[in-house]
Amino acid sequence: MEVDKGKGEAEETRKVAEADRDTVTLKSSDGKLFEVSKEAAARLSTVLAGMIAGGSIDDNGTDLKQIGSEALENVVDYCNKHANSIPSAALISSSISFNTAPFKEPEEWERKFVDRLSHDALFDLVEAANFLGMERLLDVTCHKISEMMKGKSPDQIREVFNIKNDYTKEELEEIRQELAWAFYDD
Amino acid sequence: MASQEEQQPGWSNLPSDLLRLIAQRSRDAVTGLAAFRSVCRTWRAAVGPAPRLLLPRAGSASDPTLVFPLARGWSIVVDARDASCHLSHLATGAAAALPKLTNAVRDIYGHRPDAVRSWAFHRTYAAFTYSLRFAIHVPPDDSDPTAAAAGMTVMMYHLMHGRTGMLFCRPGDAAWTKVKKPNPLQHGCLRYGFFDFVYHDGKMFGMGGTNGQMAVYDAATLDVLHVVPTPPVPSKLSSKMYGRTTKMYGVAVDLEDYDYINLVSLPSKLILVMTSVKSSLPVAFNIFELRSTPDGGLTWHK
Repeated sequence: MEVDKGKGEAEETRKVAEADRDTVTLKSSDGKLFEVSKEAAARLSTVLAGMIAGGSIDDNGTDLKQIGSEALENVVDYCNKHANSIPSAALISSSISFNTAPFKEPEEWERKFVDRLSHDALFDLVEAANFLGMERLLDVTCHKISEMMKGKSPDQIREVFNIKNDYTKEELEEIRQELAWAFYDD
Repeated sequence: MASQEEQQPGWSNLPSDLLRLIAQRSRDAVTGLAAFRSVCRTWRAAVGPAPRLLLPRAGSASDPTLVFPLARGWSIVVDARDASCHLSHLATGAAAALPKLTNAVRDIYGHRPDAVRSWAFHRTYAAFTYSLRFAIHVPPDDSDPTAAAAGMTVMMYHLMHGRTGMLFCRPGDAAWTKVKKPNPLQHGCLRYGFFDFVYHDGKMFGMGGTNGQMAVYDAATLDVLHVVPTPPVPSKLSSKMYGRTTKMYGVAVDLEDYDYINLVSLPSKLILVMTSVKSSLPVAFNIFELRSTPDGGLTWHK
């Protein structure tokens, strides 16, 4: 998939009147430009939908200073794949009432999409999805992260995510007692 | 990606709303969020402290209330001084009054008003109420606890009701209603206490006897609709409600293996979960589903 458009191409598309374009150009924190279907962006991201509706999309590349190029590439990739592969009605309704609608299991392609990501890339993508208000993508990434924890003890989870154990000795003992029935034999 | 992120991303530093999302997905049926909140301080802060397990509590002289934790956050709280009781939803503070149990007791022992005290096992109300067992039916939509309480059915059975049957009431009732046991002549043997009882789909079910038969009542008319035959298992049923059977005819029998019974009302069906216990450890689960038979009866189906 061609997502990383060169400068020249971006300049060319700028000449087309904004209203006629069916893509928007996004600019990562490190200055790379990406093009994404306007329809998909508006449908999958509440933030981009708001920007498109409010006319604050910049043809030269809308600055997304919080998102690095790798994460933005994944976001755009996700949007394009989504536009191509999913009948959207069900997903739209699930993303509108995010807090109450039951989570719809990831589609096969969504699963593959997050499975290939490194921990770092997954982390950045969760943050990007959160920043852009992409609730379905947030669902899918959070689901992936939670799967990485399933059935693991706190120690194992810390190892997977390289998290420092910042509890004191006393607190650990307390936690151990809280969890004794679930994780420890004695 | 930017170079300061080259090490490991700060999984412990994700915004707490994101952590909560992840936590909710990682919840599992047995351990809940126990592991998640034990990873580090930020993760714990995101999901809050561990919930306390609510255990049944017997009354004492200083605190004569008994708490019977039931389904979906509801408990029944009984005051052992006067056997008054109410429904309580701990999480929201919702409550609903129930009729006093004293009336229920008098209904049963009406011909001998002092009978409660005369039982050798139960010298006080506290001891008496300790053998109470409850089951509740909560309407499926319980988003508003106060409204949900109005639609509830509460069932109660006491060890000493013996062949009398169980009681039920709904919040706002003036008294508990007695549900008679099926007539032995008409429906066969179901003479002794109930193992377990449950409400499902407009009917009340009481499983009991020494043989695991189950009486089915119409919750509106209290008619006995069916007596469901014993589930197809070797007969070593024990009661989860009153502990295992260790005495038979006054002789201590230490059963090495036996089966606990739980009736579980699911939205679409009634199931029976049987936990086989051997030397105090669960060794097997069997699940039966209540199904109609061609001749209009009901039977347990494995």
